[in-house]
Amino acid sequence: MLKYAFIRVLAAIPTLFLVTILVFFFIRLVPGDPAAMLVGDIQNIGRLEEVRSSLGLDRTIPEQFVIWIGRVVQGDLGVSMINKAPVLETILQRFAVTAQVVFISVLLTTLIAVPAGMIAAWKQNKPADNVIVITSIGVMSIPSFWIGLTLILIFGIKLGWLPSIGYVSLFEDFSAGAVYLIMPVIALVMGELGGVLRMTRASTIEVMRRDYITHARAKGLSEGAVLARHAFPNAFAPTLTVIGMVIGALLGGAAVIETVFTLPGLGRLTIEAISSRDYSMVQGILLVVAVIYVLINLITDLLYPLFDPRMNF
Amino acid sequence: MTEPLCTISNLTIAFGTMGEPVVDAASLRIAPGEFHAIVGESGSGKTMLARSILGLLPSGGRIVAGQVDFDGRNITQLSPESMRKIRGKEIGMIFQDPMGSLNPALRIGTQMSEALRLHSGLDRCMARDQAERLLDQVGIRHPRRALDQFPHEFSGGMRQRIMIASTLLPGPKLLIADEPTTALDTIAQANVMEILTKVTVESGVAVLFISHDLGLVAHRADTVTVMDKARVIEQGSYEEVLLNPRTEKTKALLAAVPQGTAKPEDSRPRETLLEVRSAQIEFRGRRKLPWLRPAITRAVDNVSFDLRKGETLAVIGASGSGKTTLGRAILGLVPLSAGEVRLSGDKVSGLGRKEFRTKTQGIQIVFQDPIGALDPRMRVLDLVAESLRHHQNLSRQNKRDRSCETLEECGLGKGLHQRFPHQLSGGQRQRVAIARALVSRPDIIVLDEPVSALDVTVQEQILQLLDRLKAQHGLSYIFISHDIGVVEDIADRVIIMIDGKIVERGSAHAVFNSPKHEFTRQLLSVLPELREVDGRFQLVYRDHTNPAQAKHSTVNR
Repeated sequence: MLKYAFIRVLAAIPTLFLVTILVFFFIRLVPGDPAAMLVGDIQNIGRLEEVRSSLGLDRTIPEQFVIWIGRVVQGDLGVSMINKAPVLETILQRFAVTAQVVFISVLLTTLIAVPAGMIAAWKQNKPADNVIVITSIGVMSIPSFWIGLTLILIFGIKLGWLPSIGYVSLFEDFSAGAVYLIMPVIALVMGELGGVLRMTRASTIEVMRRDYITHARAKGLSEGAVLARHAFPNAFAPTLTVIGMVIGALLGGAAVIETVFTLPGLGRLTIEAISSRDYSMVQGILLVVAVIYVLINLITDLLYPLFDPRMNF
Repeated sequence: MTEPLCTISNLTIAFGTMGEPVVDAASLRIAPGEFHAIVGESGSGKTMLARSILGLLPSGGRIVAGQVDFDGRNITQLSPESMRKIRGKEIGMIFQDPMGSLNPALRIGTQMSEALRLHSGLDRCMARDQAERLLDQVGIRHPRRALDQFPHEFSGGMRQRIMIASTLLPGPKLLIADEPTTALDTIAQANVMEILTKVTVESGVAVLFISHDLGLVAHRADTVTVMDKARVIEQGSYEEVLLNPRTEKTKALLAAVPQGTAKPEDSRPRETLLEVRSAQIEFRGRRKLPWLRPAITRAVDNVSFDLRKGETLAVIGASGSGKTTLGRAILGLVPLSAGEVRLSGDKVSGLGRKEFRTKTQGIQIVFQDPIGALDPRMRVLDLVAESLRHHQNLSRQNKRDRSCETLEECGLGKGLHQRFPHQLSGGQRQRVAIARALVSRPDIIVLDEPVSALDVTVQEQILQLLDRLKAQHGLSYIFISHDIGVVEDIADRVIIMIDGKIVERGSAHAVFNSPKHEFTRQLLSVLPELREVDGRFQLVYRDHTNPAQAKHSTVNR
């Protein structure tokens, strides 16, 4: 299995290389550059050229790429072109914020959606199933920014129970941090709940038709034991894939939620960096996000044999 | 007479509120230790009857009238709580498909001891010891190791043995076996049947055995119930029912058991249609690493044979012997790695797609599973007419007329032509598949297990249809099957395959009457055969293990 993981990581290198090339060249196709942002006065051609050469932007694009990739290989993502902050450090700092919100949200989503989906499947086409399915479709159809804004309006402004702006890390002050996370987490959970729930329901229905479920009942097991011991391990594997995809997507950019709740996360950093044409920051972020995607997918795949022993590496 | 263990009285089961009953006022009694067989075609209600005993009807099904008494109490009225105490502990159940009835995610030992621990409160260790002992009894090698293995590591026959062991573990008084051997190939079927007989006799458990195959239950049944169209039509001791059948249905079920009349040798010179020369087919496995060579599986290994005009060549082998791959290669569906296929003298293997298609229009195929082989969104007539789409010289109307004609020839009247496949029975679907192959007037039809998915009585009808079509159209068949009994009546020549190689070949007469290879003898020796002697049926086994002995020996029951 270690060997398999190693091969998968090696196989990801071409993907990552392709991502960096695309990002590097496309961001330079966008009109405007960081020098113009820094100088502000575009009429001052001399000053502009000066800043450009200090940022290395006067070289040809392939040349710039070779210099950048050479440093990346050594683990150096460089510094921001705008405020000279080290790129990797900034990303990790912001990623910590996003990761807290995302992992808590996905954990909660799983804990709610998987049991609810299994109950819905167990009670297929009965009232309990209908209630669960209709609720999940309803929740899924509401955009999470709207849920976010509504939450702020009710609990932040009207009732004044929760702070509507700001952020404190859980690791610095747990209770204060938790208060700031409540609303963003609720908004994300409501956004992702439906997909995971429906996947769980569909795969559980498929599993419940199998003979081994009838056989488990014929052994005299209670319905709870049938669901937990026989249906769950077989039904969870496809759901695991969905959960992995949700984590990957959210880590890369919960930008909307971060903007609504003014969280200093990775998503907002990305938007700031793009709008200020901070080339080195954008490149760094996208490289890190691509690595995260690859790792999350790898972890999901490595977890698969836990639920399906027929898979082996 | 002893007190019955289980009595079913006037049981009626229906789906929904208005539906026709799927079981109509059925009654039966099982004495302790008795082996009771319920025989009937699919859809006759036998499975529903058995499932209702445990209260495990599929959703929507319910008992409308009647009751089931088990061990002196009416168990139709029990609460789910008390019913669970009976399930597994008092009454165990084995299902048809061993591939589907073991949970793929749990270790054998865990699944086996689950019911035992639930009902007896034994600890893990003791439960494992008992499980090991039973696995040993059903003939699983290395039972201790098997406890920690997963179901996918075992073959179908082994899994069914594990199921038997697992179900007997809590010591039930009644074992319900729902077609436990139908999904297995002939030899595995015979082995499982033998094991089931052995362990049930040893433990004294009563058995309710459900099957569509009268020949199969003849091994051991004390009493027999025959069901047809939701009703019990015949019931009594084995001797009464099988030896003196009163109803037409029972006679039909009996007639479907192979009678063992291999065709006499036909030495007329015939034109050779198809030649297969040193065919070799290899499959590449996944590469472990990009630069390593992939593992190669040789599915067909140096196989040569001829097919002559108007003859039926039977290709017999266990699952995994490469017989299906060989059939597909003849149609060009699988490329040959080496060797060649010649059709009327022209080499057709290795041709380009287009050229291959025009040259091989004379070969068609019928698959095992008609549900999977027919597009569920197309109507019967369109399914058949589609085979004619390459015949440009026919008008639309011509194509339709010819499809209609062919369907009727295959026994499907006008009323069925506009139906969808799911609106037909299994036998009717296979008739559509045959019509589809026949409509383009081929010379050769490859029949890949064409009757294995069907009930025995329907099997018989399809085999008769195939025989008639062959005579009328001068067809040649390559008949692929795992069941040597099926081909006995229709094959002219037989090829036996093991692991991709031909181990025996010859005329049907020679192979059936003096088999040379050990595997062929084994195949034939597990074939029960009913012979009519003076208007009475007698169950007969062939014994080829000792050629000096008489050809047939009556089995002692």
